[in-house]
Amino acid sequence: MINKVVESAAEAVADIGSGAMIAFGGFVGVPGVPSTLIKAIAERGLSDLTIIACESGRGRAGAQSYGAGGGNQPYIPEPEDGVYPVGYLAELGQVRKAITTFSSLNNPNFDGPLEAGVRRGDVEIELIGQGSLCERLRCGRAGLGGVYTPVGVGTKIGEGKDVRYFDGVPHLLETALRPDFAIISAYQADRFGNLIYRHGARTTNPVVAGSGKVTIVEVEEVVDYLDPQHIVTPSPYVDRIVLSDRRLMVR
Amino acid sequence: MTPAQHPSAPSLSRVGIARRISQDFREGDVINLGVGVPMLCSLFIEDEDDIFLHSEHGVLGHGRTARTQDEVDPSLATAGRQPIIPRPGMVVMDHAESFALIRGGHLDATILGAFQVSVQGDLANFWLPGAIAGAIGGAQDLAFCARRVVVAMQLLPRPRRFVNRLDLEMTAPRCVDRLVTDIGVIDLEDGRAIVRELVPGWSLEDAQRVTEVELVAAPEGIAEVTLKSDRDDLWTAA
Repeated sequence: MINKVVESAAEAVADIGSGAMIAFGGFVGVPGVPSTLIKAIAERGLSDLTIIACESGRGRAGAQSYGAGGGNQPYIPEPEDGVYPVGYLAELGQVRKAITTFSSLNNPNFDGPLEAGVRRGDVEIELIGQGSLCERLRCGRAGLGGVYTPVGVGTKIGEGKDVRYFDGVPHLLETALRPDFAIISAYQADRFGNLIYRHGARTTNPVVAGSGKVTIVEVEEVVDYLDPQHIVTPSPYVDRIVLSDRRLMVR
Repeated sequence: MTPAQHPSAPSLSRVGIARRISQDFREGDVINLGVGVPMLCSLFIEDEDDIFLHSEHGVLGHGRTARTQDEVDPSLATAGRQPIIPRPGMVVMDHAESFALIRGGHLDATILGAFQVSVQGDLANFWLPGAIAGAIGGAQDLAFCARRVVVAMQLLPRPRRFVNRLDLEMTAPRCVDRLVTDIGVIDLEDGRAIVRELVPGWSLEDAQRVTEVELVAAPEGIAEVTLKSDRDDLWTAA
């Protein structure tokens, strides 16, 4: 009987080694960020990782809230509440390269963990817009070599990229990303690895799913049955399932 | 150029700029609000307006911001991390679909903040001098592909915000259609800065002291900025 559920996060990430290229799901802040798996990867004490993530500018120390909120305002959990963002790996010095859309806090007076690495000379940042990053990952999952997008032509982001004209409009080539591991979070899984997501926590997770040679998901619940018409990520994209140690959405 | 300040007339506050921008929204519009002043536009959108706010991580048509912690669903926030509540018509999608909406020209407008805008409509909003790396996020897709790009910009007392040529790294060329500023509304058309509206007490000559860009009066005349709201935080005293 197929059952992709793995006992622990540590077991699920045990074959991730130094030098691996890892894509992470999730957006700025907590919902949808695979915090349990990020913590487990961090505990392996790896080096020279290439990370691919929408947002990787913020670690756990000196965290600056992105949000409105704070004070008496309604509030969404932050890294100081025990959540591990992708930037935590950079904070520990485990990252050599980041392909990302927010690598910095864009504050000339305060370096995020990746920026500090660039100043030391041991980290490289490849900045790219979110639409293009998503399509590069989708290409990786879908067996495509790349896509032409009009976004970025004539800017620093487009430098050195192949340009072709379609209907008179210049487009640039963004090539597929095929990471070694795809690390994502979802709301519910069945034992086959079919996944559904909750609200804005869906974000890049279904895009990152299946882009890697191995996809590992953390979920809040494993359920007996998911309605086939509502499944977002089909099971063949998913290799391993672990339970999240966060319960952000199950209430 | 030294920062200018009008000696006696008030200017729009950040909330006032957002109020003016939101007055251009029409029923059925699909609109993305950037972080900062643009986010404040949501203060002025009611459910019955049927305006669809788009958050680039994949939420479209959400309701108002959550008012109490009980209303907060940790999985439901704007891209600017404001907790929000669902409403009928809301749809969630993955990030790639969300950017297909953007790139495919399905957004009526994007409201963005900017470090600098040129009279040609070039936008700079992702890389500040001195920073090691920029923060491009979704701004480049939005600026290249939204059908209309509106920039919320405080001109007072900041110099070199609205310029003839960008000093800063460019996000997208020739994309900005309208600047809604603390002193008035400026449309960018064919390399010219057409002043449509000024706040009461400001003349074209006063406005010209704020920017190096040559300002041109709209052919139909310059209207006064009027705000449809009685909030007390819309104006900044001189």
